[in-house]
Amino acid sequence: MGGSADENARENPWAWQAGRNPYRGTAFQILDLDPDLAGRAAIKARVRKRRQRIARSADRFPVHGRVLGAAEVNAAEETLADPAGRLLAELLTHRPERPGPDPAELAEEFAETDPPESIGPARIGIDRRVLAGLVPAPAPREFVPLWTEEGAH
Amino acid sequence: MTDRATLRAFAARLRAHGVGEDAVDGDAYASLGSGGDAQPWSARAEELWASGGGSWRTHHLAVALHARAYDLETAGDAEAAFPYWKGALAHWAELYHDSAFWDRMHEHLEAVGGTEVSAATVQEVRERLPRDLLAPHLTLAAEHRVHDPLRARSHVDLVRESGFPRSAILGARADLVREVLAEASRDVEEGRFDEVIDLLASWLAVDPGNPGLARALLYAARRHIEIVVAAAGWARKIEPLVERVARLVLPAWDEIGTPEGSFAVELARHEYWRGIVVRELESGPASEPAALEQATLRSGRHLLRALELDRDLAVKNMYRDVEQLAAEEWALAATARQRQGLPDGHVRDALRRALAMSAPGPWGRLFMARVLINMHTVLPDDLATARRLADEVAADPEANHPDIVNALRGVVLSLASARGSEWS
Repeated sequence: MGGSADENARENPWAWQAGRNPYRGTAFQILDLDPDLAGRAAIKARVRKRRQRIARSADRFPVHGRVLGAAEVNAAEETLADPAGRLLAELLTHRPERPGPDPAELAEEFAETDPPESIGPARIGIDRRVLAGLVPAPAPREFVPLWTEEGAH
Repeated sequence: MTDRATLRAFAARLRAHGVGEDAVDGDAYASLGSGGDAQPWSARAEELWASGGGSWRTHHLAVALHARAYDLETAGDAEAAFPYWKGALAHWAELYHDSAFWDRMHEHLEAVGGTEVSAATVQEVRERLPRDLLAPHLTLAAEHRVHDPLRARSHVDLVRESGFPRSAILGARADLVREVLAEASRDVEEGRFDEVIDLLASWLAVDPGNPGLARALLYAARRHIEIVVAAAGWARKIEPLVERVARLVLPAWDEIGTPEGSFAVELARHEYWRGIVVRELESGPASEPAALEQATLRSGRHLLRALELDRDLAVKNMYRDVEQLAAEEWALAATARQRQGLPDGHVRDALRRALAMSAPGPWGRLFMARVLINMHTVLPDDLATARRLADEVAADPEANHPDIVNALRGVVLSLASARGSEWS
């Protein structure tokens, strides 16, 4: 039941098949490919390396206890090359999460560090000889008295 | 100035409030393992993501819970698997509806591929998701139908309560029964009625409200009934089938609410047979008024419902007497009430349904006329109506059976004594 004629012949990865779990043996796992690896060249290189490994010694690289064959590697590569296939594989895979900084750990680390050396307030020294040189020499000056004994202007 | 002690106290407070979201994601992901044996779920990951996590949290839960459900179901632990199926579908339904999630996926695809990915590609995968995710439950329901119907039913319940759009759910339930409906059709054509009815009943145990199954069952039962009623003793023969089918299609009728189209047409015919069976087995043989009233009310209701479901029922050859029978049953119900001495109001209540029939037939007319004449309080309209009904019987060329003629004579005499010499 559940298998009706469909224009799109793409298989349903979630279809029930006894013993098969769609979330194991995904294209990423078969190719040992990090979903976040960016760039077609980098991906191709990784796939090439994987293909070689499987060709030479597949039994050293089982996926969930299963030894892989060349056909599976090729099929996985094809799946990821097609955008819809890649998207499906992504849906079946946990987004990689890097271990992130733990604020509590950071705070403890910071607590263990020595505080920076205290230099004290910056000393401000006044060199009076320099200051004296900055002051203009007194010069005779005429000035009009602002006020006289007789009263204001 | 902040000293070490203060910072340590600060760290303790941060811990008391729980770790940051980054740490949840990192820890949970790490608990899945790495390399060729990285697992899609772990108890630790489930615990961590259930209580926190960053922007991909719902997806992580969908993957982890769903993967665990597959493992449990494969191991044969259906009871343990059920909450995981339910939780996983709920998270997937949330993701299906979340456009921001699909936008992030789209961005990611373009970032890793180094090339544009069309919005249509993403949209197509998104649109197929409900159907793809519901498919395993259809397979499992079919697999367990015969030997573990409750387990099969629980998978259909998962589909119905998945949270996906209604159209996806209806589509999945139609997919579930596509093959069996084709098989049922062949069985009916080849006259294997008992087998097909049992087969459909078994499927209805798995999806009780499935409209396709209900319609097919009504159709198969009708084809069988239409053959059986040609022979003597037909009412006793079809009664158990009629009642069994009525019970089996009730959930679908409830779910649909107001039946339409072919479902309504089949239900109409079924209600007709239910009415006929009661009439034949109960109201016909009823010897005292209380029993007659109960039986005719039941048969009358079935026949009225048949007409409500399909206004054109009388056009169909085998059902052309539906109005006539409805009129008779309701007129007899009115008669039975009158005989029990019930107030005119109760009598009129039953009578008006008979009067509403456009083709009541001679017996119906005569029963109605007698009821009208025998009202406690006879209104002028009552006598006029009774007279009209009597005239119609008299004018009916097919109403020449001796019993009808005698009954008509009785009605005419009653009318004459009711109005004295004004009526001739």
